[in-house]
Amino acid sequence: MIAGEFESEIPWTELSLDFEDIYLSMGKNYRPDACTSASIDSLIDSLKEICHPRMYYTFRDAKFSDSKKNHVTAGDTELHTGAIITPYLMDADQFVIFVATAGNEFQCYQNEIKKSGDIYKEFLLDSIGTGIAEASVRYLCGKVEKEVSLHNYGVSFPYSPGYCGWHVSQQQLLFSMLPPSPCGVRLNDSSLMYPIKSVSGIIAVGSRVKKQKYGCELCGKVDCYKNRNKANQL
Amino acid sequence: MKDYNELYEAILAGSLEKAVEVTKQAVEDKVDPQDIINLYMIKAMEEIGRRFEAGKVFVPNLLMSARAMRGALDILKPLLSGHVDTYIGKVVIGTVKGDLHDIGKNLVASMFEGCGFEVINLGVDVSSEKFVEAARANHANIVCMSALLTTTMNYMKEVIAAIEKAGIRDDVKIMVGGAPLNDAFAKSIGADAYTSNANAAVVVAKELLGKN
Repeated sequence: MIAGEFESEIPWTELSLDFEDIYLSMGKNYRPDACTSASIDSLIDSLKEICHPRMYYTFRDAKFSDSKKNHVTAGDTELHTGAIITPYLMDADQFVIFVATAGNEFQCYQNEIKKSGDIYKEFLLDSIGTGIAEASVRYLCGKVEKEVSLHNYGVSFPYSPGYCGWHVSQQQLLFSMLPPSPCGVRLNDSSLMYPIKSVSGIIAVGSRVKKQKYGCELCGKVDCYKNRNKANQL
Repeated sequence: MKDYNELYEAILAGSLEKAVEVTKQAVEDKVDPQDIINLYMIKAMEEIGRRFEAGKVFVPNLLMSARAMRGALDILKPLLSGHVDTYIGKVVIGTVKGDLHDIGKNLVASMFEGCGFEVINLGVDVSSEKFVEAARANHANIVCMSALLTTTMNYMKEVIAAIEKAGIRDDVKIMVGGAPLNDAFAKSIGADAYTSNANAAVVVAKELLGKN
């Protein structure tokens, strides 16, 4: 069994931003004009100096109960992961519980821009923040995959409360498995993380685990922003 | 009156600098600020809204126009005091208690402002008491609430109850928005309307106030 926990800053140079993540919140098939593209590039340039994304993960043994459908147990914590996600976790020997964040510095910068009243810049920065958080999760997943492959384990994709039918209030249970304020991320009573551009979740690892299709095709929930943008709404 | 169509075009194109330049020129030319707003600025915002609804432009375009509009409006605002017909209506807007998401709410606020409403933006994590206090103090026509989480959207019901208890429910229309919401939810909590995007919010607000 793999044990231990890991926390570190993610070097900006190793962060692989995907512009599709950034454009996703701007509308279906959105492609920026020269002006917006230059604004996005300029914001990203300034973030290189400011932003310190971070990640944390830890391992828990995986347990399952026949009597508890749509639930998994990580260590001693039972999670109601729901009907959509649970099947993708069922082959796990262990779970990785994680948090990744664009970081407090990003949040402070975002707050400053907000105060300036420039709604356009604020929106672009918000979208870039989403891109940074997603890229941080990808970096974390790559690191986990590399680590567990030494034990001949495969990995699932990451799954997060608030998506694909896993209720956001389950964040409380997930955070109960993490140290206080991992990577500076705090959870409020509404299960909202702060800095806002943070992602928490679970990854299944094990000898029979493999990545299976993931993304909106898994879920189709109409109240998810990713699906709504596919329907070309705000 | 000289044609200031350049201002309309500047706001439509989202050009802040040009919008500010033309507005300054119009002020120097002694044009009535209310005419500048009504004949050029609001019309440009309405047009960008229509293009957004038609899928011809995207959120960043809306925001660039809103920013240009605000830049021009900042020049005119000091000159507007005393005008009785300055605004279409007053909107109190905020993200409900427990929720810190505000980019969508700020976009809606900008569109309202750009389309001729006075906006009192209460920010995020707003309690029912604050909504009531602001609505009452500002004689608001509309209260707008936003939530992005299923754990916070139910607080909207508490706000509506507080507005009823304060005896001002008949004085204000209540609009709600946010990712997990829909029409059925809005009806179930007693809101007057749900809208899914910033432009629709403005259109529906005008309908609610009979200003269309």
